[in-house]
Amino acid sequence: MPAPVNLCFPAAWVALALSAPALWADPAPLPSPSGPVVLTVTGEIAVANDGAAAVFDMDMLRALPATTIRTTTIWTTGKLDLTGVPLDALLARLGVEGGRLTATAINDYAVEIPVSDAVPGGPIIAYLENGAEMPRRKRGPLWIVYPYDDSPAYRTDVIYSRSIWQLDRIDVAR
Amino acid sequence: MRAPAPSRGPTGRFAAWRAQAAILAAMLSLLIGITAFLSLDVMRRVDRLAMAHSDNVQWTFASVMVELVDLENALLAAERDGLPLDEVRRRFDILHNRADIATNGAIYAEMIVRAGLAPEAAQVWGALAAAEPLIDGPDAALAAALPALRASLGELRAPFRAMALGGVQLLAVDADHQREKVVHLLVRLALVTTGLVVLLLGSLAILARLNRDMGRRTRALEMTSSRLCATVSSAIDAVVVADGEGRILDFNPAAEAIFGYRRDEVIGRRMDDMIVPDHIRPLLQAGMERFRETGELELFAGDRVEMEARRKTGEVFPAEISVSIADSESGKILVSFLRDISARKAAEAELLRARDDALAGEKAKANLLAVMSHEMRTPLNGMLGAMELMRDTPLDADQRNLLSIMEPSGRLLLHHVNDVLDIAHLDSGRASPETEVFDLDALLAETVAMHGSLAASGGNRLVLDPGQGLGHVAGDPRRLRQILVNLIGNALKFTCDGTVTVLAARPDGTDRVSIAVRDTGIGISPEDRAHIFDEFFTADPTYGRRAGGTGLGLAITARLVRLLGGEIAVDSTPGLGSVFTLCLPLAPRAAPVTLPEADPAADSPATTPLRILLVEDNRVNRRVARAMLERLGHCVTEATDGAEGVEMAFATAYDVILMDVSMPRLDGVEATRRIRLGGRSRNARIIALTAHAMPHEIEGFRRAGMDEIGFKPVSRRQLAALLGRTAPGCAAE
Repeated sequence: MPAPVNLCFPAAWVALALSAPALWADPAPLPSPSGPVVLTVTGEIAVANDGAAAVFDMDMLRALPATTIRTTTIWTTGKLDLTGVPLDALLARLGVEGGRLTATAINDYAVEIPVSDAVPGGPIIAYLENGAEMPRRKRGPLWIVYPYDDSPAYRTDVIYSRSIWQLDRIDVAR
Repeated sequence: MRAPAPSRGPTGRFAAWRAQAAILAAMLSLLIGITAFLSLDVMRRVDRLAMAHSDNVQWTFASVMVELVDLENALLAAERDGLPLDEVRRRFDILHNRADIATNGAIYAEMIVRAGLAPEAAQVWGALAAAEPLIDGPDAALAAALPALRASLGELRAPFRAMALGGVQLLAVDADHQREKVVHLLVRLALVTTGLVVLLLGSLAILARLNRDMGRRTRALEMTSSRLCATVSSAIDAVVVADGEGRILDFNPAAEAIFGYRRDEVIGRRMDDMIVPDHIRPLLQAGMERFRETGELELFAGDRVEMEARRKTGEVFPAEISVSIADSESGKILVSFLRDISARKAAEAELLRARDDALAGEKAKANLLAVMSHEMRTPLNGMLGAMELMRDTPLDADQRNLLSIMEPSGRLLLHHVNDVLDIAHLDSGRASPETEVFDLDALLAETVAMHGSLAASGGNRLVLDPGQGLGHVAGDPRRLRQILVNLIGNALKFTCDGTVTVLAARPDGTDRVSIAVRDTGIGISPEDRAHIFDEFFTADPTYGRRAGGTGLGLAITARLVRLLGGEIAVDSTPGLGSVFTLCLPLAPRAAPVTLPEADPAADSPATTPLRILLVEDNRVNRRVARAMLERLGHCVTEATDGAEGVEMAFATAYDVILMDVSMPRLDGVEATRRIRLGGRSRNARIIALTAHAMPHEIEGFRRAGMDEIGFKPVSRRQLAALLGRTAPGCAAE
């Protein structure tokens, strides 16, 4: 059916035009991982190092800006110091400015996170718990956590469902 | 405000309203408090609902089961098909992680304790801990242990199921609990809403009430205002309202009528320029100046002030003004009420004139009476003198009888005339008491003795009771004698065959003497006593006429007593008698040294004839006097007036000049002065003859050079006494 095709063409062009500034904003290419890949980002990203995907080993993540959240969680007891890459920093590194993320765990648990969640002082992709790497048997190696104690807005069912542990893939969609 | 208790009055209603308002306000604030508290509580609870404190427990427990099955499958697949062991290890880690969350997580740990699932948890961890070394060990050992591992982990289905079921049950309880909480919350919400509605209704009621009250007050104010307006516009008095600068703000119809200005002509203009007369303007301006400084209006202090105002025509008219100060939005204002009192003033003046006219008429009447009496006296004197002379002529018995009727009649007439003159004189205010030292005892005795024959004629006894003897006193003997004569005469007149007693006494240590004249006569009724001292009063007209008298005696007496600074009172019992009591200031004095005086023989002819010049304008008097003097053996020359007298005295030396005072051309006083200036008779003894000389006049006579004063009507006896002191020939020197 020719009509949808005709319609799709201009839409693609518009999308490309809109994403152009992001492409130009951070053209720095990603290095290739030297250790085992812990995170794979696919979809609408501006930078890639493995075909269309951006793959990270632990060192690459540690090289990105890091921040530490001190908070309690409903899955653990007591306060935890959680250190990791702020989600907004990671997305900025990948030139992502909007849309939705689909984060998937090693057991194929998947959840959608709007890019609008990625704000400074917002969620991080934690790789250290109380200064130690997190083993796979305890929520590791990567865990998206929000600063739950900072705001009641971070203590809702939706936010809890987005707090995905044993994270290994993110797909970015417009 | 001091309003009485009834709550019907506006004050009572106001108080009641205030109490209600206070109660309402208290209730409202309570409601507001409760509502605020409930609202806060609801908000808190809503907040708590908004936050999720639990994870999706069912999912977690279900996931554990799934992860276990996946691990078992992985183990089976590895064991049977030789699939890589990494999948086994991954599945183990996932299960381990899930089990960790489901047993150690903050919520789950508590749930497991509550549901009594601790043994199951221990069993899970025992199995996992046992499996761990194999999973972490070399592939060969793991591969060998796969069946055993599958068996031991498969046993975990039971505890996981138990945990899931326990969790679900707990969750159901919690959900119930949560629902209950929501119900409570909704109930609270309903309460808050109800409270709010009640509050709203309360406020609405208050507003409605306020609105109604305001409306009522506005209407009352409008009515008061319109009533006031009507009052001002229908007032008979002019109402002029002015501001502190004196500019006219309002001018009512009465003011238009009085001043002649139309309202629009004066509004905004200054009072000074419009309605204030020129001569009052500076006064008003000064007053306004002070008013602006002090806020007080001294110029119009007091209720009403009489002042003058000016009409449009320029006419100035008397006005009665009352000014009050009121507050207005633009400061203090003056409200002036002004009444045109020109009509009243005219009436007052008319009344005053009428009164003056009446007084003048009264005075003219009194004057007429006095003049008439005075003019009557001269011919009377002539008659009396002539009768006296007639008695010495040969008369038969009838003639003598007629003469004895004529003589008392003439004397009574003279007495009446003198009474009238006395009253006129005493009322004129020109009378003043004289003061000389005299023997009071002697005066009383003389006066009583004088009335002896009169008393006897009425069959009365006249008694003098002078008490311990009063001696000499300072006073006016002539007037005292007149008083006594009047009182004794009066007493004798109204007493028949009785006793009249004269008592005199000096209360110890005082300068006053009380004299009482008591009779046993007919008495005076209490009603008459009140008028007894009025002029022309006679108690019983018929009797009065019978007793004779003008009715002036007691009036004169009362005036004389007053003149002398004393008091007179009367007490009486009708049928038993009366007593007149006077109290006079008569201070005791030492007796003066008196020279023994030769008593000239009254009726006998003079031992030494004197050359006498008689200056008298009245022919009758001249003839009477001449006859008397010649009987006394003197030689008389006549002059008809003062001028002629002066002329004759200049030419001839006389021993005595008898000088009438009141004469045409030249009166006696001036004639005397001229005679004394020079001429042959300048040293003659000059004796004034006057009808009614006042003491101050007598003083004037003496200053003019008169030696003696003789009073008309002259009698032979008086003339003899006057002339007896003159030595003949002294003028010849």
